[in-house]
Parts: sequence; C-alpha cells; structure tokens
Amino acid sequence: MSLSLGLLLSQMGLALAILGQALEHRQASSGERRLFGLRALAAALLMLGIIAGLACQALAQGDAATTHLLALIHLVGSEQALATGGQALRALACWAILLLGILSLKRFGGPYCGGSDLMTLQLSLTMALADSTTSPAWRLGAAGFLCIQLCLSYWQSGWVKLINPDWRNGRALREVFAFTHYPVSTVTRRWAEHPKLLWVMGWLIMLVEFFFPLSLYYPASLYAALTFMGLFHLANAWLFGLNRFVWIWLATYPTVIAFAPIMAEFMRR
Amino acid sequence: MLRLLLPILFPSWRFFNSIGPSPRLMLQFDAGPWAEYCPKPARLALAERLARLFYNPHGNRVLFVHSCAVRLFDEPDARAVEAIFLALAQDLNHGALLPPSPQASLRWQVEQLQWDEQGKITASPIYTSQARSLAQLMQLWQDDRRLCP
Repeated sequence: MSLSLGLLLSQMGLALAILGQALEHRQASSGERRLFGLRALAAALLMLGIIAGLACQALAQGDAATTHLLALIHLVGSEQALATGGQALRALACWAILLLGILSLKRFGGPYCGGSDLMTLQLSLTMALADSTTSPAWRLGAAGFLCIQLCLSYWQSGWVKLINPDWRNGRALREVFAFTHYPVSTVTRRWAEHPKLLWVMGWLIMLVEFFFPLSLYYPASLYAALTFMGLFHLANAWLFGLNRFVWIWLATYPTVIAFAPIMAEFMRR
Repeated sequence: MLRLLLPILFPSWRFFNSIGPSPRLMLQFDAGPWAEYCPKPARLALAERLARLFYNPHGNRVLFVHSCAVRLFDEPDARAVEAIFLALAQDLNHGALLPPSPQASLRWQVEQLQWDEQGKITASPIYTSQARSLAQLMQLWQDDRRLCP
C-alpha cells in the first residue's frame, strides 16, 4: 500500500469515527451538541478532501474508467487544482478536528471517552501535519509518528500489566468482570467465574501487546498482530461497550501498514 | 493549557495498569430509597450488542459519568460534580430518569466497590452531593450553551 493511500484511508477512518461520535451526542445539551456538530462539519469537509484525493489517485493510475472523471474535473478546473484543493481541505479539516478535540478536553475536564479521545487527537494531529505540506519527508515523519504512537499504545499497555502481579496471576481481569462498571450486562459479569480462562486471556493480551512492535519486521506478522488486536478491540466493545476504541484504532492501521516497511528497514539496521 | 496539550504530544497508554476500587453512582429522589444509576441489564440481545458497536451514546455517557465519579475518590472536584449533575439533567430531560413528582429534588452518592479479604464485594460511600431541585437541574441543562463553559 502506498503511503498516500494509507494516509487517505486513515483520514477516512478518522472522519467516519468523528461522524459516529457526533451522532452519539445529538441529544446532549446545546453546548455539547454544538461542539460535536462542528466536529461533524469538519469530518464532512475531510470526506470531501478524501474524495478529491482518491480521484487524484485514480487519475494517476490512468485507468480507462477515469476518462469520465477527467472530463468532469476539466469542467470545473484542473487536476492540479483538485489535488491542491483536496489536500488543503484535508489539512484544514484535520486541524479543525484537533482544535475541537482540545476544546472537548477542556469542556469535560479531560477525555470524554478515555484513551479513544487521546488516539483521536493523535490521529488528527498526524493527519493534519501530513497534509499541511507537500514535502515527502514531512509526510513520512507524520506517518512514522503515528506508527510509533500505535506501537507505544500497545507496548506500554502490555508493559504496565506485565509488571503488575495482579495481572500476572489473573486477579485483575477477574476484578474487571466482577465489579467494575465496564461489563455491559450482569450475564457478562459471569466471566469472573472462569478464572483459568481469564488467566489465559490476560496473558495472551499482555504478550501480544508487549511484543507488538516486533511484528513490524515482517508483513505476515504485522497482519497477524493487527488482526489479533482488531479482534481484541471488538471484544472490548462487545463485552464492555468501548465501541469508540474500535473505530479510532482501526483508523490508524492503514497508515501503519503503509509505513511498516520503512520501520522494518530501520529496525533491521 | 500545557496540562491540556501534554496528553496530545505525550499521551499515556497505561490502560488498566491497576484495577483499583470501582465507582458506583447511587441516586436518591427526596428522602426515598437509594437506587443505582443505570443498573446493568441482565442480558443484552445480539442485535443490541451489534448496534452498540456503531452507536452507543448511553453507554459512553455512563462511562463518562463513572470517570467523573472516579475523580471524586481522592478529593472534591467541582467540575466533576457539575458534569454528573448535567448528565443526570440530560437523563431527566429525555425521560431516562423518572422523578416521583415535578417538585422532587435529587442527590447522588459515589460508592467505592472492591473485594474485601474474604473475596466479597463491599461498597463504601465516598462522596454525597447536595440535593438539587428538578427545576435547578433543568436550568443547568438549558444554560449549557457554550462550546466550552
């Protein structure tokens, strides 16, 4: 996957995640609705920029099917204008999402939805940086920063669990199911009655999280690790209702897949 | 501002690093019995679980309310208190919370849940709010018009 396509797909994931979040706040108080309404507007502008970016990619590949697209573009301007305008729109929208995300932190006295808000900020920052310049080095740097943040998000999360005896002996995960406010139903709480299963699950998660950065060495290991972690996020949404984490973490994956060969080369040296 | 920007540049990804006491929010209308805020359903239908993957406003708001309750574990936090009252005002406004009368007042209490040495779950009250009338809560809801109060 090319870096440009990876960035566009991550931006599409970001826009869809933001639109989904905005929908969830449509019955909130007036101030909260306005904040998330503005974020939705920025996400809609981002989608327009992404469509322009995908059209430019299709034209660059020179498919026969793009003849009509080319004619349409020439009606309103030029390919260059489409590329420049699309990039400017994406950069503007991502900076707006970032700024509104900071306002959201201020409004709620911290993240509204824990780590998913922090990853939304990371993603909007890196996507804004990537499209604020035409310099390939900047775009690579932004993608690399996101790749490192994703690796850190898993590695650090695995590390803090591995050094905690309650996680190593399985008690922590039993507590999560037994009495925290996370499980979505009382039936889900019954998982706490299966300590051996939770011990195995806990160790599996800790090890995959901790060793995740090493998966970047080979495409096969990266796809396997991303599939496992994607399913882990889905399980968290299924059991604990943490749905926002799924979409925002999945949105980072295309950029990481596109950047991984560079990271692997760097690691081999 | 620095406190706000730091998590963007250097976020902490220490998810579930330790499982401490968990919050439970209890509500009381007038001098009635305490009742748990948004108790968990016994089970969720498959379709509802699937729908919640894409659209979970209630679940995310409850998570936010509980994160505000956690902030009250260590010390009083006026913003967390107001955020909880605002969330309750939203529930009242949408009929998710049904008061016994239009003149009722509401207060809430944060309890700390944890396992004791015998492996039983115990609840200790940590913080009890002042009572507010429904009219005050509706006013709080209507006054919340700014992007960032």
